[in-house]
Amino acid sequence: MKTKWEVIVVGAGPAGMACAASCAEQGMGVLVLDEQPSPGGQIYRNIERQRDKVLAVLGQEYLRGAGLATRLRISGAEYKPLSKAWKVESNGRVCFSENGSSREVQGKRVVLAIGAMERPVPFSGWTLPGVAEAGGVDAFLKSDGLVPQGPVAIAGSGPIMLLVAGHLNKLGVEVNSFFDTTPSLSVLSALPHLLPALRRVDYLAKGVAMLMETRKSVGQYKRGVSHYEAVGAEHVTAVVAHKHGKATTVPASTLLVHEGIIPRTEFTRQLRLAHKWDGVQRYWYPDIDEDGRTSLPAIFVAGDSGFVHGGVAAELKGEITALAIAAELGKGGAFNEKRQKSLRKQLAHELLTRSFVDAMYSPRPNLSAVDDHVTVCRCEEVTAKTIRALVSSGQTAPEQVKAVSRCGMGPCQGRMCSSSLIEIMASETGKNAQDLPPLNVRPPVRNIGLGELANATLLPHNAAQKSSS
Amino acid sequence: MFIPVDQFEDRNVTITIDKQEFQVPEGISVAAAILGHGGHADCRCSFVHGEKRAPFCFIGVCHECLVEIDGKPNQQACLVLVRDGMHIVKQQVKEG
Repeated sequence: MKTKWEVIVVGAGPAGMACAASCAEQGMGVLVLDEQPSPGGQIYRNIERQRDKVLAVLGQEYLRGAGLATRLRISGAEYKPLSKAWKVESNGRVCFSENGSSREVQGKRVVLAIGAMERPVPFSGWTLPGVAEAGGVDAFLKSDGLVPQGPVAIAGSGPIMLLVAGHLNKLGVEVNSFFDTTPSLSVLSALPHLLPALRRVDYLAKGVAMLMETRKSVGQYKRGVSHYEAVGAEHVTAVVAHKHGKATTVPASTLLVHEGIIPRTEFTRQLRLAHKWDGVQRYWYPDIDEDGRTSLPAIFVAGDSGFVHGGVAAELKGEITALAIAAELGKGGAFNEKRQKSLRKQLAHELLTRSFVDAMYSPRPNLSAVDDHVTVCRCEEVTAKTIRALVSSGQTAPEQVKAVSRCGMGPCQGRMCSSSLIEIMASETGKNAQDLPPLNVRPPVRNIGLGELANATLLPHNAAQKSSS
Repeated sequence: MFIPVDQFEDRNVTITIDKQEFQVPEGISVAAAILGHGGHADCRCSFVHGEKRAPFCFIGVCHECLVEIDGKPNQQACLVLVRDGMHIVKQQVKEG
């Protein structure tokens, strides 16, 4: 396999597919590394060989990914499925694991298009089998044609809950309860953003239609739920929803939760790039310019891993980054400037509703106010009580608490607990979450065996490499 | 537990899960084989207390789906596809 590429794209969701295809179409040598078995990312997962029955439920918006995947396939870009990138270097070198062996490749430019994930939020019972993230289960439906066992309870906040409830309903799965934790006051903070959103009446109308359909199809629809918990011995058997101090218990074989979407920042963190804090959605995102440029000339970020704007925006951002890279590498043509302008216009149109939606579904204030017994770090089974005790004994830095408690040191490498750890520590110390230093991320950012690491095929170190590292 | 939306006519891949043999459709993930075709509700036990655990994120992030595949431990079941003759073992590893 070739080791030197003009562009290496990590991730084959909408941003990665659009960016890689566009770069390849403009004559660049492009390598795409993707963890999934086929292109599409989470939103268009398994788009190339979807089952008819699932396709009928996912509809038009999902089909948008078909054109994109085809475009990637015929673009000339080298697509590597089931390949996990585990280190990105500032000079454009990338290590990845495929089939149990690892090697290093070099790109003149590396585009990080690794997307977003559902915000992991701890609550009582969230480690029980039968409890899962709503968007994740939807992705599982796309790839594997499986639906969760009913009765299903759905809890949390955000448009994805409605989407998932709709899909399950159409596939005949009983959704017996829908517990919406969106604070009613959120409407007020969202109102100032309504005017631009009104220019996308199509989008808003779709949201309202989904809401009405959900209210009709689910057993009970409860708004203003303050928090929820899963109950069971070895599997969830019931869900308890709390509202105004009153608890409602429903039987459930599955609890699907959703508390919003956050960018995946493992590589931008591993590269020690600057990040900014979004106070509305309460997450860190890499500091990039409108083309996806970072402070490192070889590294770009495209799509939701730069900021969560959704699939259509991610596709546009991927293409915008491709054109910027083409200009830097002396590819593309005079037409590019015009094309870039048009893409930015389309992106602006796509983002009209975003501030409204982000404010409307801002994380509820009590998200990290979990009971002491709740497990925060799922891997190492560290409870909120342990974290709070360490804080009150004088540990004020998240890295210290991690080292002492092992919170964030398990196989997920802190992906599931680091944001909650910071939020809990912030509320214990009366600080703002953004003022606490996030946990360090070091390579390998994926779990690979020691033997594989030792046998990795690395590129020769040259003088330039040594002086820059 | 998960239920297939379709009949899956072509079950041409033979695998074992905890030594029990199953015929599953090709192209599905190991996680799907365990949860949707193997009649299991969990994939492994937790490292400290040995509680039952099942996939939580389904996108390769949470690592709750770690299983042993063909003798190799700690494989992410949601990111590996089934292969004919594959031996899957639900991981029961506790750290000291």
